[in-house]
Amino acid sequence: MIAPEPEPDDSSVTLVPSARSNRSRILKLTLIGVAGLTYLLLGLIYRQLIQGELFTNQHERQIRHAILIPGTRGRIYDRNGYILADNRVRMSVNIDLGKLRGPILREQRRLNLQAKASNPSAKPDLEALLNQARLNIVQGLLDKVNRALSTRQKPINLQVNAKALAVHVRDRRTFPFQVVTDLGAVSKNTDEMFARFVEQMPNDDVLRLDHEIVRYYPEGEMAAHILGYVREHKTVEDTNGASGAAQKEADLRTELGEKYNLGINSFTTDKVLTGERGIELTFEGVLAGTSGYQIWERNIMGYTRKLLGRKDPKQGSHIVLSIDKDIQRAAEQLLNSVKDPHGQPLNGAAAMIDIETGEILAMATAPSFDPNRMVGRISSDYYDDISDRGGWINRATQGLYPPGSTFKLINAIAGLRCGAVRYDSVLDCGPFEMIGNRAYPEHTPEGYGPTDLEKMLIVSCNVWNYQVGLRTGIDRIAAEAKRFGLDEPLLVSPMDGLSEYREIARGMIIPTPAIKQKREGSSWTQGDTANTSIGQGLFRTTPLHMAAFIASFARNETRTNLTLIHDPGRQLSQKGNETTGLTAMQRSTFIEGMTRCVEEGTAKPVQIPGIRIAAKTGTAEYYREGQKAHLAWTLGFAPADHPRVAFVVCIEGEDMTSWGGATAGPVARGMLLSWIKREMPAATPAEEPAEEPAQ
Amino acid sequence: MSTNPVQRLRGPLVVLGLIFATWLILPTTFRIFTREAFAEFQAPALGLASRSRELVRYWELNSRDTEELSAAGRDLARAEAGLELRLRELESEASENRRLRSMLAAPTPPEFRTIVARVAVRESSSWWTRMTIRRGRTDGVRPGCPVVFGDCVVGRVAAVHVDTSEVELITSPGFRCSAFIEGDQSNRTVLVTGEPDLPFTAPTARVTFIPYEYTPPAGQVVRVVTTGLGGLYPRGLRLGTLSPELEETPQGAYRNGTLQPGRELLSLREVSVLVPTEPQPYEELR
Repeated sequence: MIAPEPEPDDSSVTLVPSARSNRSRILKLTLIGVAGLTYLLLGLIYRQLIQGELFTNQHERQIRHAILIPGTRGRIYDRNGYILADNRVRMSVNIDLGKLRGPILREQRRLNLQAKASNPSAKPDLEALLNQARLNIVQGLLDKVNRALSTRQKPINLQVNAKALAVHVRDRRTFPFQVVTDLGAVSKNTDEMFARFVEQMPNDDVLRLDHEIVRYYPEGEMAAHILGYVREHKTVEDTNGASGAAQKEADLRTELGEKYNLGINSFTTDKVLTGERGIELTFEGVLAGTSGYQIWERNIMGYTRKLLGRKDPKQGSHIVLSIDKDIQRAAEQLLNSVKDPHGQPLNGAAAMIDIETGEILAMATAPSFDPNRMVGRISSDYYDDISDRGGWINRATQGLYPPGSTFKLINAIAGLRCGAVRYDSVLDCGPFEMIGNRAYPEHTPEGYGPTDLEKMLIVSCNVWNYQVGLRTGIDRIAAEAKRFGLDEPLLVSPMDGLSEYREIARGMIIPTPAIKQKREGSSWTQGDTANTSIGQGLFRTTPLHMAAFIASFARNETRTNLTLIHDPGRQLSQKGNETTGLTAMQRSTFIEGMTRCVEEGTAKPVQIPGIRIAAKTGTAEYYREGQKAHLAWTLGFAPADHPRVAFVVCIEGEDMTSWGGATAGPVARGMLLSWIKREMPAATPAEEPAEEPAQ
Repeated sequence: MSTNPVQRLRGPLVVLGLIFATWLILPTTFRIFTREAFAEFQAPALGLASRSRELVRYWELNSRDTEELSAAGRDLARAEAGLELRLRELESEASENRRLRSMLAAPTPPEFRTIVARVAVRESSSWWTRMTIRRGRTDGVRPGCPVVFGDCVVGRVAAVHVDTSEVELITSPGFRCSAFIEGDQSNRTVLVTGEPDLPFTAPTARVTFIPYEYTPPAGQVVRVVTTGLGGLYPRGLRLGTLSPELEETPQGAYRNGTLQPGRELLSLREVSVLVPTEPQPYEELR
């Protein structure tokens, strides 16, 4: 049954809004809601679709970080495959601070409570407490390392460098913190330290053993001036563009920036090694490797969290030098053994050249330095010590010396070529030669009497050269010296990948009237010509120039373009080269005179039984710290009849007690012996037993 | 009763989830205690199972022919005589070594006490990484001690319980040791680390920092042995053999290789724990 609908009561007050009014309100509310939702939706669409990419980019740029890992440098070998510059593994102990966040915060809380307990009114510096907490935790871990590395004989007590830790946290969070830079430096026995760490410490990823590749010169000081050394830089920017890998790395940054969406500040470079001198610098572009990378995702604290991508670095190319390790070692040992009467070692240089190819077999200079000590931070004491001893100068290429009597060869060639003297002309050579009103002396008070070219070469007669020099004239003498390139920068040939020859010597002087006028403001005299004819006066050249000259002369030519890079099939450049212009008789007289100089003359100390050697000595005068002193020269080639190697030795005497043959001769002999042992073992003298080559 | 499998599983899954969540929020000390307690609770069962296997083996051997056993006994006696002789030689060499060391004032390597232990259990899921032996704290085993079989390194003690110990094998990724390559003239130290056990592959360890100039002699087995420098393993123990193929590294300063562990590792029944006579740092550092 359906109840009847009640009658409406007009007298009662209506509290419920009318349906019309309700609908209007609902509509308004709906509109407001829809508008709000539309706004949110549009905002969401704007953020997601329009700005989405921008935000993703920003997020990726904030969290992604690239670590660029420079490639290992190429090795440097000698011509026989012995390693002169190598790379070795340096073991380090690192702590991943990102994984220590929990312990550090707990330690900070502990320190905070401790501080509050000791002084309740003071407000603790939370930043300082955090730093202290970090230091405590890291030191705690390092103490474990100390215990692992310590032996009963040698306790180890390494301490954390608080400043380095603070700098690391500020600037290099992407990398683990290095608590032990070099395990080998902790104790002399690197292997033992490595073994103790590996076996005693647990294998976890907080305190871990890492390794770096560092440059290593197994022969120490040997050939240091040739090889140069490398320096360690923290970033490529620190290298000021010196790094051969700098350009390659710039390209890599661009490539990675596009591929992984990395900002300009999203790159960190691991330590970069750059060549500083010698071959390491000259062939930087060849030796430097190609960088690899690791792309990391970082957490909010800046510590690495997840590896997103990686590419291994590539090692640089290897270089094979023309140097023969054994000859180089012999040259350096002998140079270092030359002492003055007070037992002080003398400075000097020595070089040996392959006459046919122009390859430098040895180029020694004393004093030297140990490039291994330059790899990390050079101690100021060691740097100063090298500076004080003049050890930075490569005397073979940078030492500018008057050539002394070794120049008599060129003076004689000039005289013969212009007809000022014949090869068989006999000149009367007294104890001195009067030029103007000054007597130019012979080096013996008696003089040598009748002297021809051959005798001049044997006894190194000064007066013969004064007379011939004056007849020839300074212009022809200077032209002859220039023809042999004595004043031209020496060039070392490039290897593949290098577009330019590298200049390794400059500043040489061949005296001429114009030069004297320019340097001293005075006009040329006959006396100057006499001085020049015996290699004195303003004359300045390097030992390597003289080596190139004697190598050219041995081939009956004028130029030898030298190289430090080994190439068995190398052809000598013909640029500026020509024959000496000597007749066969003139040339044979020279060779005979130089050979007899070794057998009975001033170059006797060079003598080696069983092999004919052609040599010429020289004792030049120079000023050393205001005092007159002798420069001892010996140059020559061997075998005299079929020359294969040329050599030169120049030693800076401290006073007037050094002499060409007596002081420099034994060094030349030692180099030759070493060469003979390798190239002509059958001719090795009995008293000099052949050594097994070092492995 | 509901036939829907999801509904049926809901209850147990929720309980499991709750247990897991509770385990995660429990204090570390409690979790360690529980783990230790479980190991101790499990130990007698493992020991019993191991002894049962030995008993089976014993009865199997007992059923052998008497002649076969006497022949084996004779061979054993001969081997023993040979070993006695070798022992005398080694004692004499050891005495000479001690004399030379005292003359040179060289540090004495740690001395070890040997504890022979039977393998209690070796689970198939961790066959190449871990095993449990039937010697523990009461027998004097300490954490970190090297474990060997003959002259071959088996691993090191990872955890010690009352009557049992867990051994981390050399093929476990957590294992590492310094080593020499026999025949390497430069005698440089290399690093041996265990590698993750991949399915269907032979267990191996990795040898790193092999000098780049080193070339394994063709056709010869190259042994990798302990250095004795780390204070953990005595010198000259065999870790395994080096595979002839060496792998170049991008740095070019060294090469890597693969170590094939000794065959003994496959079927170990008994091992020796070398316990140093004096405590070593690694015992506290682990």
